[in-house]
Amino acid sequence: MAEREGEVGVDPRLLELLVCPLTKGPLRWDRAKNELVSEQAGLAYPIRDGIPIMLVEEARPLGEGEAVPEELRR
Amino acid sequence: MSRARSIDGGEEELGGLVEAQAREVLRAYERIAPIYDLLDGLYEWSWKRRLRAELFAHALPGRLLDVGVGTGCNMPFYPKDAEIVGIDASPAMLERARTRARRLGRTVELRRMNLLELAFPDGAFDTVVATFVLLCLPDELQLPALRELARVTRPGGRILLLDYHRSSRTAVRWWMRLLSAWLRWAFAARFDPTTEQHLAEAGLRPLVRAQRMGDGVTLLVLEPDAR
Repeated sequence: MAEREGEVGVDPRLLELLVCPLTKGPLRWDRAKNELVSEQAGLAYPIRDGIPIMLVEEARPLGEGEAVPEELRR
Repeated sequence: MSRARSIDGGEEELGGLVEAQAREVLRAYERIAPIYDLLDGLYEWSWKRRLRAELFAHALPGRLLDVGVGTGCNMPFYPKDAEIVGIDASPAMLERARTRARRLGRTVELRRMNLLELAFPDGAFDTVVATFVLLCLPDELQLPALRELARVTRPGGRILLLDYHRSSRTAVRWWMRLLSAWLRWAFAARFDPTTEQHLAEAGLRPLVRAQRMGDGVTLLVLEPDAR
């Protein structure tokens, strides 16, 4: 796939450079859904064609129970 | 949740303006993306390239943010070893940028963002560049935009700007007036951005201020005040 070529993929190192545009708080990458999750804002930012869409109006509001970090879920 | 709270002095009114502005710019650039390089080609080859080269001579080594990367007209001028991140509000423009990066063999990390609500931590970049971008913003958003660019620039880093400037020469002013409706429709832009009036309030110090193309274009190299 194009986004796997390395030139425009979501480089994990550069993911560290991203914060939530609303809260400026940290983001967690949900690999399964390919989203960047802002727990503080309760929003999930999609990644389309390898490009993170860091717009509040394009973000998906988190459902109930979703706003819990994966490592704390049972 | 209030959108305005991410903007300094954030009133609701400003938040509404941010969204309206974002919609207008998005509409214009989604429309024009396929033919942007064709439309702007004459300007690009006759003088914009020269000014981009001059501007990028002021870039610092390290990490560089290209705000409003568009179709990637700045890409040939990026410092060789810099780590580049490019943002734009328009997916169509980002697609063009991706194609150009590939053609030039440049690694450019692309993200879709609103420049008034950047998704980067404070001081993330050594150099922040915006060429012919702030002229898309109305007066009320010039200060919030400058503050947001300053926020993501590290202390001692630089902000590099190129924008149109309202010429003092009568003939050029008439020409600009004639073209302004087209500029507004096609590029959601204007010839007389008020950016420079807000530099001090945004905590930005000009290191270089130069006028080019007569006085029709302003080149600015800015440094954030020590915080």
